[in-house]
Amino acid sequence: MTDGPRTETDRLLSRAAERAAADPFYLAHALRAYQAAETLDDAALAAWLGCPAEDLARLALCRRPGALFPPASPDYEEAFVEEVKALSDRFGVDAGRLAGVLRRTAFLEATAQTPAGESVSAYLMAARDRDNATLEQVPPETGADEGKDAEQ
Amino acid sequence: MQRPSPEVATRLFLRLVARDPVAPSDLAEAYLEPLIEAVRGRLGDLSDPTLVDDAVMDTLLRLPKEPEKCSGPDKLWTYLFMDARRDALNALDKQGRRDRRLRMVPLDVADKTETRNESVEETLLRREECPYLPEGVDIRAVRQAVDGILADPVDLRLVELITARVRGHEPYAEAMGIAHLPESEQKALVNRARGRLRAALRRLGARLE
Repeated sequence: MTDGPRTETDRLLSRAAERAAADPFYLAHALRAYQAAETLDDAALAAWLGCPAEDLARLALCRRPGALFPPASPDYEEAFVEEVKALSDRFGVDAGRLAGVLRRTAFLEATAQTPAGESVSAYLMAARDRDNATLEQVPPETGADEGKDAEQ
Repeated sequence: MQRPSPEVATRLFLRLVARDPVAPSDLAEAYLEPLIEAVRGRLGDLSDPTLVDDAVMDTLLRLPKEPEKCSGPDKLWTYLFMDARRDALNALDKQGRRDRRLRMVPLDVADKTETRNESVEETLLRREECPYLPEGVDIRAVRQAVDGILADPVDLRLVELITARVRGHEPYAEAMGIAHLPESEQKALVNRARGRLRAALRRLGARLE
């Protein structure tokens, strides 16, 4: 969230998004983890999600979808789908790709936090269930995108 | 940069209470610059003005996690301003104490002394212990109430008037488009609408007295 902010507001929002990246409540935290895992800069992440680069800080300052409920609870699933759609409607990001970013980040967080594979299988099962659920809106992929999808 | 209008504040407050995922971003966009300007104006010239920026940013990142701490939309500016100002003053004080300590410690010791500054990450992780939803809150019911108010421009205007503690029935009757009715009828309709919305706001955590 540091690539070439244009106005004073953009610059400040970009800095605020940097601070929000330290807080799991915010989407910035997940986006930062995804960027680190995929070695993507802001422009590449914005392009992947399908939003203008200058909107990335605004997107990052949103609450992380599903953050109000424990992962894998029925409330979480419903809120996750609903809130990813809300962000997609507002910022024009691809809902499927944003959901994919969040699932991958959740997986990375789970593997980082738990001893050898303990709850990773639970996360994998939850991710598989989600794949069968509502957010099957990812448009047909181009060749360049295939590698990323295969990881999810 | 002017502070947001009462209408913007009302909408944002209600969306924060309803845990709208986009509300924190809109809050930052609306309040970041005017708040920084206001807090800097109050604290005067600082050797490190980014200290105020950081305090304002942390305040704006904190409120969406516990919006009920602010007692209502009319108090949103004051709450944010006071919180950011307090944070900035604490940071200034901390910086002053650190500078004094560094001046007093011999260099060979200073090299070995761990900095006691908490990182942003540590601070935020510590704050993670607080739940994002108050005990017993049914967020669906809250969202339904907020959506109802936001979808109705008359209700939204009445909420603004109520939270701004506007007295008398006339402004309310005007907002409701019933100013042409006999006064007794106006009063009855205004009282009914006011009672309904005050009850809804109380359920949302707004303190109106």
